[in-house]
Amino acid sequence: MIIKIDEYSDVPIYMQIRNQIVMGISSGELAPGEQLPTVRALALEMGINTMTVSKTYQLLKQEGYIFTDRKNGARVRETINKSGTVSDENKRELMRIVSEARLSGVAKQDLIKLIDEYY
Amino acid sequence: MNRMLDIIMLIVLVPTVLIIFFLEYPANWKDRKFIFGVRNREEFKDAAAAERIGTITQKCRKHALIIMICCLAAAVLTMIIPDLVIRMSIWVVLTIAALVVMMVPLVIGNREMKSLKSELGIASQKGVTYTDLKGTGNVRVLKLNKVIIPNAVAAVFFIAALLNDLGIVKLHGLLNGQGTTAGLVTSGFAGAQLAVGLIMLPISVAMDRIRNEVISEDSDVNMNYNRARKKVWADTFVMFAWVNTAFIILSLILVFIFDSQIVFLAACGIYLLLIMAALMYMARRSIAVDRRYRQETSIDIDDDDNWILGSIYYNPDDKRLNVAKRIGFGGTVNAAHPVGKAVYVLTVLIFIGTFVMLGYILLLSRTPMTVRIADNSLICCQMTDDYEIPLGSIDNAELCTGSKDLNLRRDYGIDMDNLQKGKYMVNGESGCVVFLDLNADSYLVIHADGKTYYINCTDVQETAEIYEEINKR
Repeated sequence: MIIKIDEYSDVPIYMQIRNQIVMGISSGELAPGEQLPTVRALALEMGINTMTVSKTYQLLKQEGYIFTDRKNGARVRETINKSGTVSDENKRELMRIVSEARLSGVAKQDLIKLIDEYY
Repeated sequence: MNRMLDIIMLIVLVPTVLIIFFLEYPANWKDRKFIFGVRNREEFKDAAAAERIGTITQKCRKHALIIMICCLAAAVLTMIIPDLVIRMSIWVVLTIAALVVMMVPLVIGNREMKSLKSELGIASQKGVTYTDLKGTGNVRVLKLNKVIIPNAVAAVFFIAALLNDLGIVKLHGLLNGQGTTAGLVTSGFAGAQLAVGLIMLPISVAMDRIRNEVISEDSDVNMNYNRARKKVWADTFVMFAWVNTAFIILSLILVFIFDSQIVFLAACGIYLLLIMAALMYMARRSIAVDRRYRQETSIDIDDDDNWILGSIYYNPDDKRLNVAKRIGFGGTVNAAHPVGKAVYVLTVLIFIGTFVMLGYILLLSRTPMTVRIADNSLICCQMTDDYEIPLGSIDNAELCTGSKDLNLRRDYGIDMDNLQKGKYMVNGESGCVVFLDLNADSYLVIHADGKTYYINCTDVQETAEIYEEINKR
């Protein structure tokens, strides 16, 4: 799985990594139980601070996407908790995307088609 | 022996300029990953852009060829200079200058490529990096024992040389030699070579752990590509470690058994030739890897702005120290990293130090040697007072002629073409203090405080006057 980092983006780096790992898990690029690189290795590879990667892993762990243990490092959870609801934060984000699409003249059907494609 | 040094310098200079020329100024730029330090992109395949790049590369290649021919002509002219010290100084300056001037067309090419990019409207993606999670921390090719074993073998031979120099075991001059010498000449040499091998150890590890490049959406392609290029580097380091060790063993055997400086210099020449040939081979392999994966490259990031003149990596946002080179073969350091800054400062200091040292050697070779009597002491002076012998301690003094017939063998000190200064073995007698200008025929042999001194002045008349003065007192 390829992770793209933009140093000059408004989104913090730890969040960029988190978002892409979540997308990777969702798309199946990261399989359940798959080993993730160690904090140190990933930080070295990306050329970023280890604290940034550590923060990402902490967040992913809190959200229930990955689990960590001292022996095996970080792995994607075999079963991810399915709440069946969209979080308030994601609702707000979706609202923003829909608003921008409407203002740009994107038809509702096209937007639904896009959601179907990504889902 | 003088010509051997010329041959060694030629072995260094000629392959170096050839490697730079064929590696950095390719006749066909299309299958190269970088063109003068600028990433080769899809947009460059456009007919108009391709024609322009063709013109730039041809022009720079032509200039580089002219510079290369000039460097080689200068090398041939240098060999004509009779004075060894001046010749050696020019060789060193010429080698450094050749490295610098061969880069000039490349810098011009880099500038023109960057302006072409802005004309084509290719926006810089500064700050964008790609990382392949699958390859992170997994692509390791170097087997550490393969570089440790040759260095361990070299260390054994170094210890043997050290024991010999300390007089604990006798290895020196087994067949033809003149016996054990004082000082740490042999072990010093072996130690210096071993140090080079040991310095390469952490560098080889750093190169093996260098960041994996992402060239494709396919993780397998990325891993294979990174494995292939790291294999070239690992092979280079293993090869260097073994060649270095073989050279230490061979040179020690030559010194211990045959004791011939000519054979030793020939071994130095062969060593450098092997290193250069291997570097050429590895550089070709490196180009072949890039060429092989060129068709599979689907991710082209544009971080050219982080490369000053295409060769100095400066990226304050990147916390990594070492990165793969764009120009040349191997790795370089991030100049924005604190350690990278220190490396660059050290490099500049080494260059300055080399020129200061050359100036000092030239000055030393041109400064006449004088001996004077002052405050009841005999003072040998060249730039500074080198030796002071109290007149009262002199047991006897003898004026001799034929300084060039003396069989001199340096333990430590200065050994130039006609200037010998320091502790020497003279006609089989070790531990003698020598202060001789071999251009002057006459010299004094002085026995004082249980030591034997061989001294003279650049001016023959002065040597005779000093002898008379000693006898009077």
